[in-house]
Amino acid sequence: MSRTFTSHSELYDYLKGLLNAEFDIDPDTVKPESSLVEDLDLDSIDAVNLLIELKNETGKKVDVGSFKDIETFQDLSQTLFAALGS
Amino acid sequence: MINIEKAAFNHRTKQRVAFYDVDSMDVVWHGNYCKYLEVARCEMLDALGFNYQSMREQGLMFPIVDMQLRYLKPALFDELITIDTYLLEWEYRLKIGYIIKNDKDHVLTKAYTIQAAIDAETKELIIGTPSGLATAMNDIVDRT
Repeated sequence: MSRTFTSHSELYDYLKGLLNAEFDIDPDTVKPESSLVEDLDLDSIDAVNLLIELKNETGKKVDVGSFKDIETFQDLSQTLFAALGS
Repeated sequence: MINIEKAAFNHRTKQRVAFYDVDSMDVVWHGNYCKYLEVARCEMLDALGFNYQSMREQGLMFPIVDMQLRYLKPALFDELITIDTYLLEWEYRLKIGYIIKNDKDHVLTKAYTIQAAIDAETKELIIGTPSGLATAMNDIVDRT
């Protein structure tokens, strides 16, 4: 599979679905300002899992270096959209 | 649980079940399988040419961050067991699959471990593939 995300909102919605599928997080509770750690209870290992799922979906390897500066769900989706180079 | 068709590399280790590994029911105590996986994993990484010493020289550590084992049949004292290891993922993390069989070729255990790359100096998780690892693994995968 090699899906292309043509807009940030498309990737944003995909990530919400991925959080639901992978971690059973209710999409209605995911807001742009949701803290990945405090609100969504994600850890760094979960972040690696997300990257692997994103690679499986897009066929593209996404290197973001570090997640330490990514605090919110909006930060995450914007960083990944930029990294995908879409 | 594991898809060995995806494996980029595989290796076989044999080990005889020692008396000190079995419990009062004469079967291998469940925690001791982790040691079998460790031995098999180290042998596979040696065979790959990218063992723990190589990782250390590149400033990396690869601790186990996740593991799952499924115990299908017990391994017994003095049985010769075969541990087949499969390198399932290496780009973002090392995911290694294991199938343990007895000498009758019965599958006893299926397992996987996941190791994440940690910068040895900062102790921070490396998101993505460390450049040293990518180079080493691309060479290895090209050779195999």
